[in-house]
Amino acid sequence: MTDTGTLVISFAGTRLVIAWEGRSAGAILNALCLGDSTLAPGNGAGPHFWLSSAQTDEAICLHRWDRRLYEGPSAGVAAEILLDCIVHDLADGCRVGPLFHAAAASCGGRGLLLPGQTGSGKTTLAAWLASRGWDYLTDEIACIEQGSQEIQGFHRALHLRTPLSAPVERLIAAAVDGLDSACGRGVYRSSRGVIVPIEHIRPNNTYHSPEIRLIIFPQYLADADGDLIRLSPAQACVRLMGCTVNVRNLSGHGLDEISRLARGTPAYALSYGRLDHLTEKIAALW
Amino acid sequence: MNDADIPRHMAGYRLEDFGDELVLYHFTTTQVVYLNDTASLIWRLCDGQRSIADIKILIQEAYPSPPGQVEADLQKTMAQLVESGAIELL
Repeated sequence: MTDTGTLVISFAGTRLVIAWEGRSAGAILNALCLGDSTLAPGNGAGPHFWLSSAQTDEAICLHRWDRRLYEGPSAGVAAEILLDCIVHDLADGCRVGPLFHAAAASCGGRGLLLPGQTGSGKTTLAAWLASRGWDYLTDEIACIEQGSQEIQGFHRALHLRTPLSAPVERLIAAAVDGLDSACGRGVYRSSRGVIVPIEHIRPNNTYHSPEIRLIIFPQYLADADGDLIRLSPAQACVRLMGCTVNVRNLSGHGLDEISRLARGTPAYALSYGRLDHLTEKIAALW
Repeated sequence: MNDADIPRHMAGYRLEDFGDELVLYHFTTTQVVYLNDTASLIWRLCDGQRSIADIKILIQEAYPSPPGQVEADLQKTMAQLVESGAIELL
């Protein structure tokens, strides 16, 4: 692995550049599995982000333009901050269609969109589905371009927030114990969560842009039974608008497009506290 | 809120019609309001001309209910519409 380089992220019409230096910095970027990206040696001009690690004390330093976002010993914290800022900047620049705060997965070439706010349990659900054979597309943002039916998930490592549910802890623990070096990508922990490359859970994961088949709005509730409640198109439209992160970038704030999606795609609300039997319930809707 | 009040639609909302249900969206505040079938009907009747008493009569004729039920439902829905910013009372 080289000690310096430039990562170019292209997603939904937006392009971000991350310059990096240092082995630890390169390892972090490798673990984050970012988008449709190219990792190349040499320094790029005008990067959005600059991530560096010192050779001696392994201190990590992260800048966004000329503003320092983090300087310290925790690669996990630096990785989390970088992930959050990347998502923010992608949302800020996306104008090709509604960009949803959503996880997404695919089965049999058809797409499942899982819109929800932070803490709704969409990453946990996406990780669980991946462990059950679904393709993982994203756990944070997904775009459906105007006039399209295809879900474009922002490819990145899973970012699971602590406290993790027991089944997910077992899933992660098993992966870390057995495969930390198999895919060459590490797992990073911080006080807020854990960043896990999808290969640890689904080694042969395939990224693609399937046509949307179903929308499920998840909400983790400790005592919930995992009931799926059908939503009307109007109810789905309202919820999707609440999960759209780039409304002000879109013509008519994207209402026409989101209404189109809501009218044409079955939508459900899911309250779940346990993961067992969820896959079967979702598959029954497929 | 009393029967003589005249409700009307608040300006700045765009209407998305889903048949029995409506979605209202405000471009400045980005607020989204969902109206189920009952709230949609009541909202449509809030034309700035009819009073709450007028609307009550129309709802009673369309949906015969036990005494007091229509008034209670109407008051509740109107309060929700005012709170959500979808209507104002003159």
